[in-house]
Amino acid sequence: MKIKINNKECSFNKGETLIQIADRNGIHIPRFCYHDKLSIAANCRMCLIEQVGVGKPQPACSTPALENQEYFTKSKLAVDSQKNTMEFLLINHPLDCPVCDQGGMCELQDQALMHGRVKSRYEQEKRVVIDYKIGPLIKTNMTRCIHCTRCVRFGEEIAGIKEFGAIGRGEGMEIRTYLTSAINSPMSGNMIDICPVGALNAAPSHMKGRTWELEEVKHISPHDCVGSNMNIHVLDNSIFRVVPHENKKINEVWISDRDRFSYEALGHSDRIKKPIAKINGRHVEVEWEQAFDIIKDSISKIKFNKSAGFISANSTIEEQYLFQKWLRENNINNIDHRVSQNKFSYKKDDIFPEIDIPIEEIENSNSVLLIDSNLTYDQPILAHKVRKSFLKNAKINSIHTYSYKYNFDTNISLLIKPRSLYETLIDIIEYLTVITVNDKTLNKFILPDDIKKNFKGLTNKKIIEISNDLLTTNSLILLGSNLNSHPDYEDLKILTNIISVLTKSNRGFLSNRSNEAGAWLSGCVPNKIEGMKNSRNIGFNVFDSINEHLECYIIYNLDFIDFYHYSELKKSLSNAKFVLGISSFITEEDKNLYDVILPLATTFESPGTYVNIEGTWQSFAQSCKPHHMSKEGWKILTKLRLIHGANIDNSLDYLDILNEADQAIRNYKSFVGKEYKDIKMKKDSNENTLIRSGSCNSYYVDNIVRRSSSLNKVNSNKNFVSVNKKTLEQNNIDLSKNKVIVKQGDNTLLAELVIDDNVSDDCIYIANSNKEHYDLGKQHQPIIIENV
Amino acid sequence: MKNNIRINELCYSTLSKDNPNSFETYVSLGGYSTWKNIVLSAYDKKEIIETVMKSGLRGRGGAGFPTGRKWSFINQDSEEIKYLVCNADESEPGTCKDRDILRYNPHALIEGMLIASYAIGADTAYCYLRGEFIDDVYSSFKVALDEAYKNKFIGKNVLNTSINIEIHDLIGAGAYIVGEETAMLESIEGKKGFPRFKPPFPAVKGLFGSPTIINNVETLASIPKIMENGPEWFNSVGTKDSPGFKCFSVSGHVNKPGNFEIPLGTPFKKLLELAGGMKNGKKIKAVIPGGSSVPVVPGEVMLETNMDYESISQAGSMLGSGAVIVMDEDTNMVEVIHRIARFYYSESCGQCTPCREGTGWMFKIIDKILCGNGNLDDIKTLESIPKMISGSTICALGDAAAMPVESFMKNYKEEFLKYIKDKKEEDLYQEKNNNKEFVLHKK
Amino acid sequence: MNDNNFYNIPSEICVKINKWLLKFPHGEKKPAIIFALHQIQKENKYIKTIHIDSVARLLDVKKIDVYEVAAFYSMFELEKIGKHTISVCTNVSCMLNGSDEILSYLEKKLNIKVGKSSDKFFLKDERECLAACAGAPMMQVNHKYYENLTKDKIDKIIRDIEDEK
Ligand SMILES: Cc1cc2nc3c(=O)[nH]c(=O)nc-3n(C[C@H](O)[C@H](O)[C@H](O)COP(=O)(O)O)c2cc1C
Ligand code: SF4
Ligand code: FES
Repeated sequence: MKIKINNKECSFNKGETLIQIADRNGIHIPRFCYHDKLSIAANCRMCLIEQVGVGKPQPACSTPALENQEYFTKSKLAVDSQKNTMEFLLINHPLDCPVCDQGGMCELQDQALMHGRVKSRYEQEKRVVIDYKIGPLIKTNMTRCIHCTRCVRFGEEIAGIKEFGAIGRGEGMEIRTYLTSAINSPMSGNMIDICPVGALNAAPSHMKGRTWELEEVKHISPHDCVGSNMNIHVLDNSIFRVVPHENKKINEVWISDRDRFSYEALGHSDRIKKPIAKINGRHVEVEWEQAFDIIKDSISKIKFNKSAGFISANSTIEEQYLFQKWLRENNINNIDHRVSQNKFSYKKDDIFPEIDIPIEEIENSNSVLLIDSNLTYDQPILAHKVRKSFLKNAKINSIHTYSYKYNFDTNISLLIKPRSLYETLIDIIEYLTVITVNDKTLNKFILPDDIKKNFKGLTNKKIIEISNDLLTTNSLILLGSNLNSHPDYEDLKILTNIISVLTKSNRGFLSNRSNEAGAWLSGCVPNKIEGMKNSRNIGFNVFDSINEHLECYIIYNLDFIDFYHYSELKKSLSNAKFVLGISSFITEEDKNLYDVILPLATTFESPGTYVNIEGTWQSFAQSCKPHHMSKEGWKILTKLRLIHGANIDNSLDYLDILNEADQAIRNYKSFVGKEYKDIKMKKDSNENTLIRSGSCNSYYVDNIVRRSSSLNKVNSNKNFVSVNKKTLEQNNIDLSKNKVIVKQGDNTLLAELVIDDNVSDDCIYIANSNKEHYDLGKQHQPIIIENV
Repeated sequence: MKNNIRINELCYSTLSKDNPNSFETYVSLGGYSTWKNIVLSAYDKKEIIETVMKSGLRGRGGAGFPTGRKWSFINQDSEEIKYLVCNADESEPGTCKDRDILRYNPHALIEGMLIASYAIGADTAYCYLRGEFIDDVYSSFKVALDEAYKNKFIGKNVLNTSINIEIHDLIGAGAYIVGEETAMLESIEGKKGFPRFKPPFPAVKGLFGSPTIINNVETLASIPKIMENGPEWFNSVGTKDSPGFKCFSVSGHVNKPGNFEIPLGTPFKKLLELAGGMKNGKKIKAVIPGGSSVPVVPGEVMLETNMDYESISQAGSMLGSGAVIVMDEDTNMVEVIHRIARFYYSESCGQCTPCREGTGWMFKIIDKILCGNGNLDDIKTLESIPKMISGSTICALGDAAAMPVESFMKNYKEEFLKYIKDKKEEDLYQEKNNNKEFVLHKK
Repeated sequence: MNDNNFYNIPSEICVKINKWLLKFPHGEKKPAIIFALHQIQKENKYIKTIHIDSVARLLDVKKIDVYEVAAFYSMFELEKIGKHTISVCTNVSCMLNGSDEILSYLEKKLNIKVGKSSDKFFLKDERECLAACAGAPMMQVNHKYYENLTKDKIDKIIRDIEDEK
């Protein structure tokens, strides 16, 4: 079908609106309320254009094109209408562009220049709106609001949590939250971008610089397995703000608040400024050369091959590749990145963060099963995709150990004890083996005996319904990222795999690290070398490395609290002969256990590559120079290899390393299709005790976010434990008191008590969001609760 | 002149009786016989619509859209859920006709709603009354509804047939804009009354996403008699484009203000006579013939005009809801428009820009002029704003706010100019308006 | 949760609200917001935030949705007001028939400015026409209509209210 816009012939599909057709054909129509990811509101009336033969101007954003009609976007009627709207919009808008953050990138400012009248005729008093605080991330200046309601619709439609509303009516209408409540969505920062004027501003960068002074560098999200694309705006070699970079396949035009605001950590007081070495029992700052000399000297005095190296799964693939290469060149195979994992049952475990379908396909799933996933807060962009599938009528089911808040509705939501996860998945398998008994395609599939042994006759209707939903086409199972501290984690991965084979569902193994897939691929595990090839010499995993009390430990880009076996680690380090740290941040307490600490450039200060859950390699450039004396990881690691006599060309640069890593890794074999015949299931023994459950707070998961001041203000109430009423009563806890004591081993913690029936029975839920929580003890271990 | 007009034969037909609103009165005048007939003989839906079309009945809510045509937009036989909504939000300033129908002849409305629901294939109908009626006609309407239920005219298995029709009473909470049909749908759905943009029209996608027909109280209350007496009876009075009877609410400077149901096309002079003529024998200065949102017409023009859609349109205004506001020679037109502009300023929903900002701007300028602070530029601006609003808003409230200002400026500009030229002299007005300091509509 | 920050909707009102919901398609909860607010306002004279919270909880809708409705419709009072609400229509038809004098008379008599409230009376700033133009000037007292007002009539209405106790 065809129409003419400004005499240009344009073709269109039935139902398309004029603005969509014009946008596609490069014809500019001004707008404020229209946003291609949001529903149509047609309230700003800025997009009025002329339809030949119709006396009234038509709003292009909401008017469907009519076959063979002619439209004009710049005729007198159109231009006059646009000018009129502009004049109306400006009468109550403060003309404070010189002090507005939006100045220079303001849609109102731009359109006022193009479509406005020269002089304002309005002389009366302008509307003034009182501002309310809506949290630490967004600074409001509601007097500037033009009531386009994009932010309201964003909340309802994209974030899935309606938090803004249009309150009152007429000229007095205000966009605000309920009373003075804060915005809670983990995607709320996007409202700053979609607000066409300076009403919603990024609080951390508020009034700190002007748009035209900024430089823009593309970056990849350093915080989860999604790999959202973002643009870093840099002012004088420091990061001014972070905004989304459109990538239709991954994050569309959104990013999570964590990705947007974590950069604040760069200026944290934990930042290491210069290399530090322990000389005569005291930590002193030294020059780089001196630091390398000390390392060389110390290593020569010990059995260096009795070492272990741990690297963060948030480091770039180049760093990970070099790290394991350096260690393996020195015959060290005790290499691992799985520092937050609890138990290691299988030497050959090789299921790593991967998903069977591209991220953009998630929205086409017909059913989704979440296994203990706090998706909305841990991987907000994936939650957005699942939400889209939900809006297309997919059934979302969830099996969880805490009733997480999602931004979509769940069909069946099954709250179970953490210890029962394993049995629940076996129940599903039991049902599926009955249902699929006649499925010829499964003939070759042999169910491990160990699993069959656990069959016990099925009664739970919810399990049956969940299983049946998985049997629909295009179903998806997502295994939550916080399960890695679960004692059965490796079994759960295998059981998930089996379920997916039986139901032909797609699988996604989630991670809250930006490059965990990269860590596996580059060989940062004891049993695999780069490219997932089996290693001839299998080293110790993290757990064994720590318990073997080795001579030397090298810790790369990690805080001690990142380790599940946090207290054991500290003990081993204090007994070791040499401990080397390479990190951007250090706490006073951690510092004491290191012999040498090298200051590492953060992800923003270094080029690099991340591999996301769908296996996409995304490289980024350096956004700004490393702060203080810190250096990029690839440089540090190359220097360390040189110390040990590796034969490296002096002119080697970053791109060479990327190339080398790429070639070494590219052709890896994925786990797809494995059956795990020889699996041995075993059970945890803590049957009759209270168990500490809980995941890591999404604003405390890694060494960057936990140091971002604004994000940390979002979790205002940090030190609390949640327990359900039944468990409290069974343990004789006085419900009227708001504090309790919890004990793990010899450690005790006085914490606020939250009665929360989202917690499963016999569990004390602590969302790790504080060092005190790590000092208390580990998740999934016995815990005691007492009255104060 | 002798008064030989046929008066109160349709919606007000019970008025002359003792207990006008009782079920018995209505039935004694033949009420519900049409509905009984339709139900028991399983009338053809199309035939009903055709009858209404033939009668030429036009919507009495303001826009005057032919009712039969509107009904025919709906596919009566589709399986889809469909709704009928009765617009009893009567809030156009000057209009008080629907309240009297609800007060004195609620059963005609109920029967009309039943017939309309049946004709469009809806099994649920809602009657949305404005919030301010909550302790007034809302209660009496509910009583009437209960009676009709008791007598099995509504509900499951109407008169023991397989027909099911529910009529629900709903109540608003004070907002002029909810009278606009799509805002009413939003309000019924439990939201604030923001009009929806069209297309899609309610007949395609209305209440809860289903096809919906919205009609005014008077429109629906006219249906039973039209069905009973036939379309010819109805359109034997009135003119070709404005057939039938219409209720006019006459208010302002007249001796006997009230509601008069008369044939369309009746000369305004006669209507004025029915309303007892001008108060205190004053001369007529101006008339707003169809509720405050239509243009004002000078008295002398009005005296020569007939009360029908075409004639009033020729006189430069609109019949609207039939609210006739009469003003005598002493009326201060700047004060009147000040009051009207204030109303629209308070009632703009705030959704779309021209109306939200424009209504306030117009009011503030008029206020400034009235307080004696105006200048000639203000007059120019005031003349241009209505043109900027008209036709560019989501719903017709924008036009409703613009038209009166435009017409007052056109017909009574010299009164505005007088305020500007003669500031001193008008100190009086300034004082008078001082204590009415304006606060934004905010809570 | 603190108990005095909590409003328990009386069970008779809950029953009414549930009955009201039967008018709408199954699962639609929002359509009862306006009705619920009317009921609660009748009980409490004006609507406090705890009332909004309780309606949101009862109907399982977002608080902001309830707040939007409460703030949009002019009949809902969100600030403390006196026992009896008096609304004098001051729209065109009433104005032409002297509603301004009626209003000033009431302001003086009750000693409150329009839009303000004493313990006993709230003199509402009524902008909307109340659909009784043929009985102008008119007012509503607690939503009852009083038409063709004169000063004497007003004296009597007020006296009756005060006698009522
Ligand atoms: C701002 C505005 C207010 C309106 N108020 C009313 C009203 O109070 N009562 C009414 O019946 N129609 C009112 N209408 C007209 C309705 O939108 C609609 O046209 C009417 O209810 C249709 O019924 P009818 O075809 O029977 O006239 C209003 C329209 C607008 C734009
Ligand atoms: S705050 Fe910004 S996005 Fe929200 S309505 Fe106002 S102008 Fe639009
Ligand atoms: S962009 Fe079309 S009305 Fe706002």
